[in-house]
Amino acid sequence: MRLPQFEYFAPVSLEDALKLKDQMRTSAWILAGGTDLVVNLKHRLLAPAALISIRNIRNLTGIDLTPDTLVIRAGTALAQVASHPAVKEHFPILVKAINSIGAMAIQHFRGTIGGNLCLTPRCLFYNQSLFWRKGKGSCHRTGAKDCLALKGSESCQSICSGDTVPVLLALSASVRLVGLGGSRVVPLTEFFSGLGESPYHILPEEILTEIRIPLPWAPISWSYQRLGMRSAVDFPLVNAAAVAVLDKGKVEHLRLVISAVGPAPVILREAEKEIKGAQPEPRMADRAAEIALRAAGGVVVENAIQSRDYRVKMAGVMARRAVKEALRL
Amino acid sequence: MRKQLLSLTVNGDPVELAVPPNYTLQEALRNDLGLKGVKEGCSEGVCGACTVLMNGAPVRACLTLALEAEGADIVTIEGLSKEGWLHPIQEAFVNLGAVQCGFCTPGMIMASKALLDRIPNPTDDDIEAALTGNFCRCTGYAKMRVAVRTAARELQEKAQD
Amino acid sequence: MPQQEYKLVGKSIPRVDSKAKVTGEAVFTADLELPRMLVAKILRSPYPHARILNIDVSKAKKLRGVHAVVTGKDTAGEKWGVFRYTRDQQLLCVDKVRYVGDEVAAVAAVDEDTALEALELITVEYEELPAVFDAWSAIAPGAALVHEDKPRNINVEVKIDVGDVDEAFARCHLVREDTFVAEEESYFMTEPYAVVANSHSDGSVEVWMPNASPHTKAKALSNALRIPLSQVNVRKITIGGAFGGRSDVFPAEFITCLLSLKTRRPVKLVYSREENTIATRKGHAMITTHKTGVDKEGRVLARESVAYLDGGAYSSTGPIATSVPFLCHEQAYNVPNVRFTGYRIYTNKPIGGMIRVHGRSFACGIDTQLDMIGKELGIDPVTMHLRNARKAGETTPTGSYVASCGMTECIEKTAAESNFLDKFNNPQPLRGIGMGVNSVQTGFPLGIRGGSQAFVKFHEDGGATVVSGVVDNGQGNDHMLVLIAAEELGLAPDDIRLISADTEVTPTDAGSYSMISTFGGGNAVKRAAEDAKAQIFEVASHMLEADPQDLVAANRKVFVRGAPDVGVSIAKIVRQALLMGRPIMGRGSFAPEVDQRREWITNPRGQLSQAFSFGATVTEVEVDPETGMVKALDVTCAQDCGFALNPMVVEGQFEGSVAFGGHGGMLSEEHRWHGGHCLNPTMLEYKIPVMKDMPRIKPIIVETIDPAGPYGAKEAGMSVAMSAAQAYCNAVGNALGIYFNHFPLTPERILDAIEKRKEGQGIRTAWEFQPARVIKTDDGT
Repeated sequence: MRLPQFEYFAPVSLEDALKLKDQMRTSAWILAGGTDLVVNLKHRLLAPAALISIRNIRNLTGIDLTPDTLVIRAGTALAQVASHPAVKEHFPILVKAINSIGAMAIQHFRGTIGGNLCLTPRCLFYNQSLFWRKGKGSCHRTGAKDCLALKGSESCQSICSGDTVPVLLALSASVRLVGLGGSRVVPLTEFFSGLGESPYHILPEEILTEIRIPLPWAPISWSYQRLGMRSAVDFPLVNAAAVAVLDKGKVEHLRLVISAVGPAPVILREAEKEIKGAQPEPRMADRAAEIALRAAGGVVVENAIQSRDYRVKMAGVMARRAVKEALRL
Repeated sequence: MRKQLLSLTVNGDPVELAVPPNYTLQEALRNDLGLKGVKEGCSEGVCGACTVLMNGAPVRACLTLALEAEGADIVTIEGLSKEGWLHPIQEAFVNLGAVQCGFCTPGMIMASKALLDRIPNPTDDDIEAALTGNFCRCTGYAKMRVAVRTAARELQEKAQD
Repeated sequence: MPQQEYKLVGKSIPRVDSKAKVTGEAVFTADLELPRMLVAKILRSPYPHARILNIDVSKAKKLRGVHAVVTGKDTAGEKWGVFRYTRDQQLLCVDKVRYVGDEVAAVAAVDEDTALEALELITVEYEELPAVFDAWSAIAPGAALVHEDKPRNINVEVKIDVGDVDEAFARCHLVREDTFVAEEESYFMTEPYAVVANSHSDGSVEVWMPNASPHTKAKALSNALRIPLSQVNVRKITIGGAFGGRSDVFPAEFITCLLSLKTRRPVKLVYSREENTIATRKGHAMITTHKTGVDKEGRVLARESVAYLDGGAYSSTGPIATSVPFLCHEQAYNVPNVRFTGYRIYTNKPIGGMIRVHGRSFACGIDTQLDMIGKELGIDPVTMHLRNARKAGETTPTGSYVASCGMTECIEKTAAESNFLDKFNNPQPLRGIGMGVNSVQTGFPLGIRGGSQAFVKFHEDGGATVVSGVVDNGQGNDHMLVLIAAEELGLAPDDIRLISADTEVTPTDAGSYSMISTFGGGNAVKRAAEDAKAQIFEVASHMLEADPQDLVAANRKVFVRGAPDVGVSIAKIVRQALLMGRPIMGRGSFAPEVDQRREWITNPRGQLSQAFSFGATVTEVEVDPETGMVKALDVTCAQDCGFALNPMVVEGQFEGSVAFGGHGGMLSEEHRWHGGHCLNPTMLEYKIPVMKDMPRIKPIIVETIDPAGPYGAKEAGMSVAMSAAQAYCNAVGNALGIYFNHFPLTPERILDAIEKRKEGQGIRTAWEFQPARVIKTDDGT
């Protein structure tokens, strides 16, 4: 498959990259590992005038440990993240999530953490060739005002498919977005728009430079659950992450997230609220499942390789298993 | 679209090419350098038939822009055997019946090479993790596992000699 | 010759083609580069069913770099069909398009970008028509017709009725009827389809493409292009897998040749993965209703089966595709009274072809139903299979004599090796074990009939060149031919050069489909080598002053039996023969002894194939009842391959068969649709198995030494592929106490079946489907 035409820039500093982004806005895309972007370009899903490669920008890769935060630069290859001692020590949940992305030996050396977090949301009616889409008509993302998966929908229902998404969210991570005018740190809880056509709250002139994960104040107990049709080269049908702090027999802290259900990950706040402060007990997992099922029921549409009904049910199962494991039930 | 200059090392040789920005590494290797062992099976990074080593790491040549390989050291299947002598991984694939139609073979062998360069004495789990992103439709993968295990032993013995 | 005297056959040795494949040297079609070569692209229908009102190619023609644009107007409406009576596919659509992907126009340009741009400049006016997407709606009275001359969209109807089925049902102790449904599956051979055509000033054209029968392709191209057959030269090329998906003739090769003839330049067409999926062939979706009657011991006395195959837009191998699921079954099982009615139905979807686990609803239905009957009678699956298994010396209902058959041994060995009965009788929660058995043909007529021929010529150094029409799709046919020739001639594989699958040079061969190559082509090469050897012995008999009958060829020498030290080298004999003016030139021909009157629809009786392979597979699985995910743990598979010419290669075929037929085929591989659009045409969303998910596989080779096969060999692997599907199906069912009847067993289906499972309702299938019935058409037939 041929790529469409575009200009290619490989600036040597973040500032140069930001200048380009400032001029070109949404017509320029950041090229990191390319494992998502290049496929989408080949399918003519995007038509950027230019790609801005980050490969010469040194300070977009690497991992720093500050006293209270692990800072992963967005362009760091997934393999590097997963093998970093500080990540392994503090966040084995992230290692687990990374190991389930694509094919371990391949995507990981090119694919980046920033790229996985900001995957272009996926849909069986969208991630198809130009030829395929011609026979089906356009959707919110290809120039029309409708959704092929959910007729009449006011926005795109594509699926947020990154394996790291629920995990980073459960770890209360935030991202640093940098523009020419300065930088801002946005918690992931405020990063996802819920609109498939413009899934992230990032300005056209901004570049995502860091993922910041606060170091836990106490030992965390965690679980990452994901379901796929095969154990590699497969986006999750649904995934879930739970991060808890258990203290003196009580659930001191809990963050429970399901994802790959709709355009944005879903934090199961109701379940968190019920569980927090109480002693871990088996019914909590079932409650989490009920809440997840209900939440998924509101967002999952018929646009993945297994049916909507199945994915909704699996959201419940993944949430139950995540809670069970994180609360050591 | 203006072509840009690209310098890299391919199978040990310095190479200079002029390529347009929308050229993949796969296209550069196949079309400009005639390295047809870099197969195109899906063109979207799924099947692994185009796997080459880029600075020692296995990458999908179909998903890598040629210009992203500036200054890189690339090894393809053509760079594995030396003066007609098969690399022990190639040898094991031949001798143990791990080759059928042969289309996935170059990518499979390059992924195996990347693994054994990193982990000389891999466990079965290591082998699975390393090769599970390379699709084969003929073999059921059984003889490939054996071939990689055997090649690992062979390479270790060689290293000790 | 007694087996132990073989030097090469029967031993595991590396394939002769593998060295070129591990170095990247092997050239596949897309790798070919020729001077001045143009790039071709095809414009395809975006609609499942539409009338073509107008095609305007003027803008495309004017685009700089475009050398030719062709449409249906350039084809004289030429149609392709495997059989004379199934010619229904226009090589470029003239009046209508019938599926998303149908070929409408094509361009040849200086590069891919220009070709793609040219496609954008072609404007086609369509009038969209109502379309049909499944068998039930297609046969409904008043449904849109895919082909106007085919009422109820019935493409093919196969009727077989042997014995007295109704009388036998009346005698049965137990009769049950169940309906089984399977969705479409695909080949996903790793090499996408590609064609290179090069026309020459002498009017000839050379063609390279992955194919299962160069001579069939050449004939079809000769007819369609109106060029003498001798001028269409299909060349040898490395082929990246076939699995049934390269047997037929496609518009692609015709279009590429046409563009090359128009431009007088070489033209290359390479399919995208999506095109390979939608515009070559796919497996049929199928609905099968089996009514089976047994006696008290579980012996099947009568069976009636009705099947609907969703054939897609065109006939392809339709009459064969419709018959083969039944034929495999009648070979595998001894059923005295059988009635089969098979329909292939046209729909506005991609074209159905033969595939490795062809007819999975039929085959899995048979074995699932046998398990159900066994359950009702309190008989275990091993006994059920053994009681009904085919045996050597029997004749199938439609009249094929079975000369060799190791079915019983396959069942017994897989059962013993897997400890089947112990595990079956002492079930562990969520663990399941299942057995499947099946049988395949070694060859059957695909539109053309005929055997295989081969030549052997010698070089002055004593090496030989074998010339054979057999094509290697990746399974190792080249190696098989070299091995046989080397064995016969007393040479090493390295001494043999092979020229194969080049229609200009090689004699005819029916093609490498339907598992015929070893039996047909292997026998032909063996006979050619024997002929050459006889000539060598004749010359050597003078040199050694011995009777030719006492001579032996081995280690590149000919010697008197028992005196290997006083031999004379083959090289010397070859040179002596040249001096005598009697160059060694071996010829061999083999045509299987089949009933030439047999025809798929008009006369489905008589010897179908000269030999049949038999296989049994046992699969053990673990099921996650909350997610419906299945983990396959162990697979034990046995096949009677006649004789294993190369056990390592045979094992490789078994292992690949388990992956394709059983693991992928039954757990995850299916196409999903939205109207006429395939939702998963790519490797990402069509889930073929990866290494990590594959179970341990224990291959068991069973040998029965078929009287007509080369050294007794039949075919390697297909009976495993089929039986593996059945074994996976029964294993998952066994784990959950559910009899599945909708395939493949995707997690959502398994979960649905678990939720619908009702205790105490007797032995029933997971879902109730409308049964397939004999179709009554308006004219009362």
